[in-house]
Amino acid sequence: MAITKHLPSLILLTAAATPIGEAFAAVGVVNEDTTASVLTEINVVGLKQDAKLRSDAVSATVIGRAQLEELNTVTIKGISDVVPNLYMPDYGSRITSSIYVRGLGARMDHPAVGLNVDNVPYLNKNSYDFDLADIASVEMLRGPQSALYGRNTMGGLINIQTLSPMRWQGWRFMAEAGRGNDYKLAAGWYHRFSDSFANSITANFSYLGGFFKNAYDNKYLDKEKSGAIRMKSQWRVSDRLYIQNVLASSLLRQGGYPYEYALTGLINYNDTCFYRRFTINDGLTLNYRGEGWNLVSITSVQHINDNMTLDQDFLPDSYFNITQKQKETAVTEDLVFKGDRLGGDYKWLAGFFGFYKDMHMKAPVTFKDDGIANLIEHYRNNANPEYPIEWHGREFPLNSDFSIPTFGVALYHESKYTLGRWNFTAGIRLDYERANLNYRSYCDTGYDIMHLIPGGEKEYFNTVNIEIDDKGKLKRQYFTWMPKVSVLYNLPSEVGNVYATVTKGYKSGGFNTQMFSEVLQQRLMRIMGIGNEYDVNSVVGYKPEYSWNYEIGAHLAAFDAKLSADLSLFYIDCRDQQLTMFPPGSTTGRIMTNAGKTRSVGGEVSLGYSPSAHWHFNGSYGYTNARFREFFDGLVDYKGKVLPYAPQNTLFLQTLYSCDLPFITEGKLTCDLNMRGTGKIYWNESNTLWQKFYAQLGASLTVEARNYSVQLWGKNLTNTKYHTFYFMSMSNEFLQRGRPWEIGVTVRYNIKM
Amino acid sequence: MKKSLLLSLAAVAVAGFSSCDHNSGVTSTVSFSSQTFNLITTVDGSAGPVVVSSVYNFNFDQIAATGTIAGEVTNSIQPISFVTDPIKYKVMNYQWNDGIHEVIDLETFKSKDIYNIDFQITTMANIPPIISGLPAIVIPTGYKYLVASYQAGDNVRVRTFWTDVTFTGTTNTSYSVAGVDKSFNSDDVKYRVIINPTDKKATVILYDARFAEEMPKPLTNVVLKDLPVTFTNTGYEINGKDITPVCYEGSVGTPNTDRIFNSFSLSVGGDLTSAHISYKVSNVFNGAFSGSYIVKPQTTPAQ
Repeated sequence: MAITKHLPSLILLTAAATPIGEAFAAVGVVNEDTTASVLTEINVVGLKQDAKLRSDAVSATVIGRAQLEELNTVTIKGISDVVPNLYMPDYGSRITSSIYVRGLGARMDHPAVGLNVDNVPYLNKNSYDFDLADIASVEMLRGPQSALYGRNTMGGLINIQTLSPMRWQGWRFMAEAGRGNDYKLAAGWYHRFSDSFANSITANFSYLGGFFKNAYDNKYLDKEKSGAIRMKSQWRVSDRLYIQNVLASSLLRQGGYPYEYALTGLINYNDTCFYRRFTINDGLTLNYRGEGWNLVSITSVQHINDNMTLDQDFLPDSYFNITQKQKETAVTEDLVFKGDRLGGDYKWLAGFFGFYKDMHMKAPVTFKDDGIANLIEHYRNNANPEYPIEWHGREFPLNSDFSIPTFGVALYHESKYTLGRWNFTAGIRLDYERANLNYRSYCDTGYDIMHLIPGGEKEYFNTVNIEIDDKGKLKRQYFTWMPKVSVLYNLPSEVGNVYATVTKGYKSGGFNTQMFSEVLQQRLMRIMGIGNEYDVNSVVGYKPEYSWNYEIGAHLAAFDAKLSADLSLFYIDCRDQQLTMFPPGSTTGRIMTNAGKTRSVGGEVSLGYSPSAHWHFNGSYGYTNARFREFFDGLVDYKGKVLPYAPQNTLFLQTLYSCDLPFITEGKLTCDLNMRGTGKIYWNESNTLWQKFYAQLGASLTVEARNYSVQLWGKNLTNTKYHTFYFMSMSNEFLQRGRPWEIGVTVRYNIKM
Repeated sequence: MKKSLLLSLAAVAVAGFSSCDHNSGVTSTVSFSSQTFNLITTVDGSAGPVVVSSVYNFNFDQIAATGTIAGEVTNSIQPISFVTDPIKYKVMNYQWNDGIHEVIDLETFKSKDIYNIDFQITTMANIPPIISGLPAIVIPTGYKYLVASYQAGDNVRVRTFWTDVTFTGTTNTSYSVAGVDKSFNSDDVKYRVIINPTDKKATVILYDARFAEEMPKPLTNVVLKDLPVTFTNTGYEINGKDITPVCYEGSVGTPNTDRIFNSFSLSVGGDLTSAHISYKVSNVFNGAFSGSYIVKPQTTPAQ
């Protein structure tokens, strides 16, 4: 009796169960172990999609543990470019987890791609970038997943599962050292107390000495220390009831952003820059199996407490720095009810999702000597030079405090009908969300007005005291519906399938909290008699973004599955696309604005070929042509221009060779040579600046035996020079350098019990 | 503050003509008074002009859609006193500045006392920003601006006007930079005129004054004080030379010798709602403005 027939809700990811030494680790192909015991862990993607993603009408890439180890990846950024059209650049801080898929992405506020870790949907993008010990698999679903996964999955969904103690028991250790004083340690204990209860505790620690020096003090500024701990408990209460709980916590201390000033090419700034973060999450999954149906409840509680402090001018001058301290607590509940009828030809799924999150933020901008002189006094004194001003002190804060409670509820349904070789799927989600913003902007400062008298002397004229304490409330609410329709045809002779899908995607609207410092600054200047006035309600809020995604694709296999290919072509029509812009002039904040309309067209191909037991070749390529159809920012019309920050091409090529090592018991040698390519990336809406296509060479040599492996690895071995980010501040241009070449060694040791 | 003021006043204005009845929710009459200044001139120019304040009393029958006006103007060129017969009127509501505003038009008619009558009551008048240190804004009761003109007898013409109004429109500034002639247009500059008819002095305030593209930030306020006002048969004029403006910052008025108004000229004529202004600043910028303190609706009324 095939287990999968009676347990349609299970996904069996045996990459997790595979010991060290599994061959070929091909990207996109995860071997399934159908002999695993019944009613093991629940994977939310497997629950809501087909058990095998390649049997579903979706562009998906699955990367197993062995593949992740070959690529020396412990974060989701590591799969950037490996997955076609997925780009996750390093923007210099773990707070900025920008993910671009098929031209869609976000640098701030709400993400365009959802992230689930052990079924917990991470709501805050600030916590996306973390090291994770013992990732069992990473699944990347491209295209809108909004119908089943809701808000902020407009570009796709990344689903991470960690190693299950039900599948593997023993001890696992990892130690790594690399260039840049890059050290990692991880340990995991996996224990199965009985057939029905297992527990694991993993911990990891990493230290990075840094690659980039600050010319100001000759110190490495991208230093980092982080640690995390995770406890996973799995309990099969009965044949019908399964419970999983994952409790995780992490701590991060990170230095500054390695932004170089374009004019000088130097990273050189004088003020403090750091990012500190503490997170704790708990996810409880309950799975109850009835007769032909399943009810799953996924509950999570998430908390993040972080502090980002920046030298915002990134110059050796003292203009201003900003601090953003955030505390957010969120709860989510996803109830999924799933079943089938008509002998399994009709499958249905219905669900309810609800969340509440409460964020409190303090975001002061501190003006310093040069900022006061050049951004405030300069304008005021130019307007009235005979009566110049002298500020009270050379430093003062513009304070902004926020409270942002948000809640949302959604109902969703999907029906799948199988008719011979055809699968028809239709789904819909109704989503309501409401967000409030309570703000307080305040400052207490002042200046003296002097009078220039003949002879160049100054005499006191008067004093201006500036006391601002503005409070207000804004609210936004959104109701949206997200349909999905797909058709899949299974080709004969188990060659694969072809599919077509139409889905609607949605990314929440929100509030430009960073603009409050600008609003407050302009208010201050208005009191001084100069400047424009911002209407808070119009600059602080931005609307949701919607997209329609049209896609055709195929999942194919040939030559006895030695060759696998995934192909897709897509067209995305996006309305009110959210773009991060730096308002013109000397500002302290970024603004999220809605562009008129954009469209994105492109394609993806992923190939895996294993001509023999020794060789395997992987390749993936993604092309995206994403342009504005309508975007006038009030000054310039950008119609026809390429969307900035998203690459037009991603390329990944990998060659793997493996052979036995007869002089080591169960010994094996694996050689990996790979190349990642990205670009062209435009840096601005006017397309006058760009990063051309660049490639990075990687390689690794792994010797493994039954219980251990030693891996020598290298990244960007040709030391390709490239930039990952560009921005302007106070009319100055800055670029973020990509990491230079790296080499290192990773040792893994397992004690299997 | 400005927006909420407008909304609340617009609500008051609408409420003045909204139905409310102790019994069935509908009242038939609404009364209010408008105290305003009158510019009294003669058609043949033989006397005047005279500027006096008076009260006009309005009584509207909402069911019949007619209203009567009673006015008495003393200390005029000739005594003026009248009560009209019922006049048909229309109330139109317009969406403007994030609120609904009323404009009440009374049809032209002739009575035994006055004729060539044109009366309009509007709430679509500009309100300037509130800036600490500047004179408090004087707004008529109920935010209702009476714009009226009529003839009393054969030779006496009366036009109402307000002594604290803010003109908006287009300002064009011409100037030279490095020998190149340039021009700059702005619809953001506002001109507030506060008249003391007794002293015949005026204060003119420019809000959001920007004279050139190269000027990075506008001046929130430029105050020209104690300018002489001349009333004429056409309307009134305000002129001045070599005026050092005062700019208020945090309620402190600071002279600005970098922006001396070498010349300033304002003239208001016609129905006394529109102004033409010209000036020269810093011997560099030549500004010219035309606009109105009330907005004459171009669009159809809000439903």
